[in-house]
Amino acid sequence: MSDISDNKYIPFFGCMLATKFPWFEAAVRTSLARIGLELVDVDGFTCCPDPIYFQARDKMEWYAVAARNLSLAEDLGHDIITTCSGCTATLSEVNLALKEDGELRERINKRLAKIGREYKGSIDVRHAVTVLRDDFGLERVAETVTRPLEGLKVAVHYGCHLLKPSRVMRVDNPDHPTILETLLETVGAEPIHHELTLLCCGRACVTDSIPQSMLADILDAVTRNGADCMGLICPTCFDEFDTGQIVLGRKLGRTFDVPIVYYFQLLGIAQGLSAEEVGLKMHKVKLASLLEYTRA
Amino acid sequence: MTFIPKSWFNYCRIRCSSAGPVGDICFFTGAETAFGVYSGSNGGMEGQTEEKHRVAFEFREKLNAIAEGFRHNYCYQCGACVGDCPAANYSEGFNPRLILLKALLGFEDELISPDSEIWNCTNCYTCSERCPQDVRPVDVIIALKNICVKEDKAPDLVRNVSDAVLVSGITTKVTSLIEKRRKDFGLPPITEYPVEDLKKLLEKDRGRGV
Ligand code: SF4
Ligand code: SF4
Repeated sequence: MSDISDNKYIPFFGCMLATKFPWFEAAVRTSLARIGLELVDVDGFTCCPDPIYFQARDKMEWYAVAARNLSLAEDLGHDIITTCSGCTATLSEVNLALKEDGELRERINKRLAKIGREYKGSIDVRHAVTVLRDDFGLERVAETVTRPLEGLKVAVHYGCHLLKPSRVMRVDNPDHPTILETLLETVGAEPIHHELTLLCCGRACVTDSIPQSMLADILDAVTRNGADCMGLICPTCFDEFDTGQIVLGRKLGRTFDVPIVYYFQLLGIAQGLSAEEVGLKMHKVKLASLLEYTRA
Repeated sequence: MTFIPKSWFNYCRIRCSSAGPVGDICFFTGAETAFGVYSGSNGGMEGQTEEKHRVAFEFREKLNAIAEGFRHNYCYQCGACVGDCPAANYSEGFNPRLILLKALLGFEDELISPDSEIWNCTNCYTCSERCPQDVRPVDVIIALKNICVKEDKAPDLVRNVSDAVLVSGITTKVTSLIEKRRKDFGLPPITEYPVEDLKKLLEKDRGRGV
């Protein structure tokens, strides 16, 4: 592990935040800076690569591309901080596999040598929420909150790859996690843990009917449990749920109306950022109660 | 090569025939997917076809050679991976235990195909949490997917998304709208993705499993 006393981390925003949801990236950058993290940007990262299709294509190529990304961060000697569960899954799993398996590391390094790079295994990959909980602490996060989101009921959606495989992630109990609930409480919101809090978003299925049935059940559970919105930490889950509920609503002839928010948007607003600055207006389903928030 | 005792097949036969709907694994129907590995007293099986289909060990060899594929050999068919599997709970056909059984028995035609049920796995990793044998069923499924891609039997989507990474460095595209949005949100511009590096990294050894 790198020396964390200097508060420096290398952000890996990945394809989704950089191109599809840049307002999430903006919310992350600003809110983390307020807590005291220094993000050191690295040029030359590619897609993590995608843990679903790229891994399905060829696992050895998946290792190689991820190892190249990891090696770029190793040059600077700080841990990677991730803000997308897909990137977290790929970079964490490859990092652990290459650290544990010397033979695999050798094979991958042979490939990396072709572009003059080497994977050393000298840094860790951490999702931003674990950095907040473990390196800075909830108290430090709470100190930056100037406008607690009192009364906002947020249905928690974990997404799979913050927690599983737990052998790799080592973040929380995969069946009874608490990290997102405590982080929501830290910004003054009321977390709602419902019966489908841990269900997958289903994005990886090739058949639409599976994720769509899952989505209908999840959205109904959120509404039934009296939440104002759903809070999550993965841009793929966000996409699946925000745009997905419009598509599904049309298909079923119903309106779901469940606003979806990314945790760092809530954190930013609680720290005094405006709804505009964290891009709440960009969402397909709007969270009316927070939309009028302007800079504190 | 692991030796599989006959009792193992009896065990599978019992599980498959007594555990209710089991998809298309049936040992004695004489249909295309039938197996006749049970050679003891054929109680109640009189009149069945004499043709025997044996376990296709060649397929295990093939799977063993793929990263993480070897793990399938440790599956003892307990079914612990099924209960919390979202794809199993939200569809009729999907069942990780049966996928593992088909891998063990060598049902290659069913598994290695763009229409295979393996493509409905959500990659949620719940099965890996549950499996008492550390089979990591999802990793075996990924190994099966790797074979599909190698043999050009994967859904087009897989190539399309992963090819995009090789062409542009990411799964998405950087458009002028995206660049404008980044600017509006006060973000630094996207620097060029090092596509040439990626090509060099992957080109030469492709297909050799290096
Ligand atoms: S990873 Fe696939 S097989 Fe395993 S529990 Fe999830 S959907 Fe089921
Ligand atoms: S839990 Fe493991 S051992 Fe049991 S059936 Fe599933 S893969 Fe096989």
